[in-house]
Amino acid sequence: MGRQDGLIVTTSDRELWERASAGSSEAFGQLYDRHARAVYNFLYRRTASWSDAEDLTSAVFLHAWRRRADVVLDRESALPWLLRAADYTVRNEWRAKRRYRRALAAAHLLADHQRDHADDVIGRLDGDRQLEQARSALDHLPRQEREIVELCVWSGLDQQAAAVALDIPLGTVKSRLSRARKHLRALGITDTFVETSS
Amino acid sequence: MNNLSTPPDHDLPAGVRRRQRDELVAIIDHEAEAPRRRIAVPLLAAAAVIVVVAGLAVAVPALRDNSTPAPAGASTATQPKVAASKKPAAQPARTRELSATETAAFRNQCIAFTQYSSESFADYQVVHAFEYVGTARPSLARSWLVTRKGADYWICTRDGRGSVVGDSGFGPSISPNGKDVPYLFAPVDQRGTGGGMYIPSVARVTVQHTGEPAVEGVLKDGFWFAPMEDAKLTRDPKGQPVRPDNGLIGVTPGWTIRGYDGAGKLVYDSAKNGPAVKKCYSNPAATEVLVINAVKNPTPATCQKMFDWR
Repeated sequence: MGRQDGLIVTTSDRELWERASAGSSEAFGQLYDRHARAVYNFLYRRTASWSDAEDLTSAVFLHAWRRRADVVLDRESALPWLLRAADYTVRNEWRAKRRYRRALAAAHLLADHQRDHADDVIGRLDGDRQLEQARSALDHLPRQEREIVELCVWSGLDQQAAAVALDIPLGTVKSRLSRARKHLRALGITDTFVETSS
Repeated sequence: MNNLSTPPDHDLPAGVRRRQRDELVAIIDHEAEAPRRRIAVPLLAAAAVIVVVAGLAVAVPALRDNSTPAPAGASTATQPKVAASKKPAAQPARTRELSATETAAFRNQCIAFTQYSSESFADYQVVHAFEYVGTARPSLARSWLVTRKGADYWICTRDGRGSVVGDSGFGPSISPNGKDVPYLFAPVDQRGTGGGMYIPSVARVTVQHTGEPAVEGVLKDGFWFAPMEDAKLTRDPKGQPVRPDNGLIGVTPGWTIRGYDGAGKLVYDSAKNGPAVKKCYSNPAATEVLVINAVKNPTPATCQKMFDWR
């Protein structure tokens, strides 16, 4: 976003992505500015660890950059695609971290970063217990339904964006959401999401 | 537990966010540049336009025997006008061949490093594996793996810490669309970190980092190698990484590359007549413009001639 003649001009994700794909690191930096927080929190809820989420956030963006030719934007937003990359990155955590370190080495930036003390403080927040409980509820669901809940409930994507994030048809998103609600209701979960009709 | 509530969102810690952003920007700068270097196309500056070939038939030279002295003036290209100078002293090159075990480990590193390339490094056969003995600092390129598949060459480079720092390729399969592919931009043409190619009349190559003594390069089969390193990123006033640019094709900013003929005469000095990004380039016979860059209405007569590798 920039300011021009008194007007706030918003550059779309699509435009930034096109510039980044053409080699503009600054455009990619703006995409990072825009979506790092959402990716970071998605990763936290997936890994239940702020420090793992932190490490993986940069790996997600590197993965997204390297797969830039395959990008699918949802109504100009890159977030669903980035969350797809985040899902892949969590599944391949060890390799993702190793790739990122190799990329750093190749760019001559490799250094041993001392973890900030504040990271440990964040890691001790009471929220960890809350997340643990929410995750344990989700763990009763099949993986496909878990993914839908993570995206639509925890990350706030609408159904169309979730379809892009999961690379599945919109109809499949709807049916998985419906099944997830039924399962959670049967488990005695009384969340707003569960009580919402499909 | 009876609901799906999760803790509120947090921001990344400010320091982490800043560091990650800087790292990603630098990685992308590096990776956006690397493929251009790999395919041997001179797009080091932004405004480069390449003539794309239809039906390119390129015969890439076979490996040359380095023990055979190359005749001076064998190139059909016009020799650069560089004042003759006395042969300067340079640190002698001391190298050793890598053992089979070392070579295998090096090759595995290169396979991992190049895993996102369209070609597979594993398909290439090792031609040379060697390293400098006693480089000035660990960040300099120190060991090289030269591989070949048919007419294509793929060279992988490690620094003194043993980390792969770059790779470069040359040949019709690796660079199918570059009409400049069979030619060199300079008598000593840098391609990648600490290495490149040279024309037959060059018998000696030195490299020199600003403020340091010149270092002797090693010549093998038309390729030269020397302990160099990529230019360090600097920071602009906003703290953003900035990559130095000397306006030359291939020549690492902060370094000077020199070539001498068999009589010890200086025939190329990148500081004086290095290949400029702003120029256009024709084939050695000056019959066709091959690389336009940002030049308007280029003609073979007005462009720099490229050089035959052999």
